[in-house]
Amino acid sequence: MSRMRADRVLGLLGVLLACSPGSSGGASAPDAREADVNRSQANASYLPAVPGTRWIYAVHGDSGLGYHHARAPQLELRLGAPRELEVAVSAPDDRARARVFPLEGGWLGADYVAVTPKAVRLYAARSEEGGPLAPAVLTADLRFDGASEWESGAPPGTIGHLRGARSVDESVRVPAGSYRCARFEQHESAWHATLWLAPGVGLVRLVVERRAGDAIRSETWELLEHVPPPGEGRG
Amino acid sequence: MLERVLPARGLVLEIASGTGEHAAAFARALPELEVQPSDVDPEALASIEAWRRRGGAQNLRAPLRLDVHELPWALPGIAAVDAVLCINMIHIAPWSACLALLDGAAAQLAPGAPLVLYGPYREHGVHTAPSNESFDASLRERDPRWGVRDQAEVAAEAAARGLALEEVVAMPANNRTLVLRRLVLGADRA
Repeated sequence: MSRMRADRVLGLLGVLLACSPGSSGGASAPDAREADVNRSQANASYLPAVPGTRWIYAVHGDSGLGYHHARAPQLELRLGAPRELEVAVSAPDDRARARVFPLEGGWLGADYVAVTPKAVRLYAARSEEGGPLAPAVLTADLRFDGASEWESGAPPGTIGHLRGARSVDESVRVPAGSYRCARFEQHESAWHATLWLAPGVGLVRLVVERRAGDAIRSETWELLEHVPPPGEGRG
Repeated sequence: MLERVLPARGLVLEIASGTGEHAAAFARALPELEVQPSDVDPEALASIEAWRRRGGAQNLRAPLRLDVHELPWALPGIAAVDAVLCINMIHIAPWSACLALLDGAAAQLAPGAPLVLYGPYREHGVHTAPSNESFDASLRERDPRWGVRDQAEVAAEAAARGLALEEVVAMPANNRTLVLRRLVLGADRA
């Protein structure tokens, strides 16, 4: 069995053990200590980089004024085929090429995702209609390298500077089920996001608070359904 | 079409309301929304107020003096903006006004909230109709800084500010409505 094949089998096993809807982070889910031990390991299972994967979310706004009613109450993200892309390691001129997967739909503000052994990184590269934004800009940096806090993106004090943190893993209940998740915080000058990622599934929950004029508005995404491509099995 | 893309409730900030006729009509047609007209020109502000008094729509607010270039926008008495609407402004103004409009809207809008632009556009540098080409020439003759904007350039500048182009709707007289929405993540300006 090839290494890649073995990794995939182990990843799918992890999905079956840890992420079946309704597992509630209970007996079949890894406990916090086990999850901590796994922090420094490859994170591929936390965001299955399999083209064709779809995630469907229920979206809730907090304003009560109805801005979210002008948009579909459900959003779908889809993972496309990987490609090489020039990305900004730090703004404005430090660049690198990375293997990324297009992340389509959702209005997330992330057009691509890169999955490396130590991080899941989201990049904004904009729409075809809007023209490419090159290099693609880092919009979220979720690290699995054992660090509890880090800084990335643009230089400190400038727009696009990100402060990240990973806190203790926790169980999250969403419409798709209950999952044992890694929890991340991302701070930018205009917004703050909390993201929960479950092994074998990906983004399970997202809460974003964004400055909008003099107000702070929040939006919550909760996983309704994780749909692997045919032949990959469900998380 | 505005009924479809605007939120069901909340406050719609109209930029460069001009005479105020549009704002008065929107306020009547969309009674669940509050419409906040604005303009930088004192004569326009007086005209908007006249339309407001004549129309009498309770949800049409008194006009606000707003120069899009004066960032961040000062919006007294407004806690939050749920949509920004701008009709026939960006081609009858310097390009800097379009960029300032995008900056201001990006800073005001909540995730998912729309910026709606209406007017003529070029498509990848090419006019979509001979009438638009003539109009563009007349605009540039009046002020070389004016002119029909390229849709892709506007969308690219919007994208760099976290506003994604959701929809382009063909309108009468070779005009278009561009619906942009505030993305969830991403900086206000790239």
